[in-house]
Amino acid sequence: MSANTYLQVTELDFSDIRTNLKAYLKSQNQFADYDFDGSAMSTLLDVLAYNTHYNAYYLNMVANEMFLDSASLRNSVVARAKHLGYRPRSAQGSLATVTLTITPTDSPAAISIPKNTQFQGEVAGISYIWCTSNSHSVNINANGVYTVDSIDLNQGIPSTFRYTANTSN
Amino acid sequence: MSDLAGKIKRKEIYSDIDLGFFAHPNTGKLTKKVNRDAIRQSVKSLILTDYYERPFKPNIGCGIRYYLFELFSPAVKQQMESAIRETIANHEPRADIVEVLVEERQELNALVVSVAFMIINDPNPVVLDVILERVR
Repeated sequence: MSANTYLQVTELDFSDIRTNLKAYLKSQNQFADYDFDGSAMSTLLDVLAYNTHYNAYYLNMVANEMFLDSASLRNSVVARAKHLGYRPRSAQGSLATVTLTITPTDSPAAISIPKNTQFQGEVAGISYIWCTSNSHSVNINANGVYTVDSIDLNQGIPSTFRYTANTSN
Repeated sequence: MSDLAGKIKRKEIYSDIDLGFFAHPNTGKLTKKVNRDAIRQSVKSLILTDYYERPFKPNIGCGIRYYLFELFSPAVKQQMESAIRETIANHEPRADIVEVLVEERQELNALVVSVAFMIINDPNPVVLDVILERVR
């Protein structure tokens, strides 16, 4: 047995890992052909070094994502920020709280505004759609005006996804 | 004398894993290829390896499969033989090529590659036949 009876595990590069494995194999005399490109030992060393390199790269990326300073994925940054008390959120549509006054052609007792009723507005020449987030009932007041306060309008149009479920499975 | 000769273990200069990964019938250990057999296996492995097949070593290989999609003409035959010679010369320093022959076997839809080479410090030549045929 030679002096190299331990395995170096500090390298991350493919060629360095392979060199270390070869240095380790020099300490045994069962198989001697690891130095020749066509040998089965060489092929096996390639696979082992590739696998080790692959794992080293993966672990390096995992370690990066575990710290706020080095994380690159948004999910990782959000997870690290949660530990510090932050609660990041995504971009979302604007919310408007409006007072609605309606002038009907007839004189009903009350006017019903269903949920998701669309309102169009314009900001800087661009049209936007807002929708009511709840249903409302507008009653006539003492001055004979149909008005209601504090109606929340959310920007955007709610979408519905429908699919058919096969309950026999 | 013959008993004595039988007890003298043949010196293993080259030793490699058997790519068949067979267990030894008596010991159960992984069988080995030694000396001439190890080099034969290495040469065969090199011939059947394509470029970019080995990770991080794109230049190891023979590229013999590319020629299988060509019409088998004397020019292609010559190119295949040259590719095999070059590969062995570049990657197997233990073998000294004597002859490379590529022959067609129309009845089998196959090509037979015969490689004759000398092993360094061994007076006996080694002949290796590799049959190239479709696998599916």
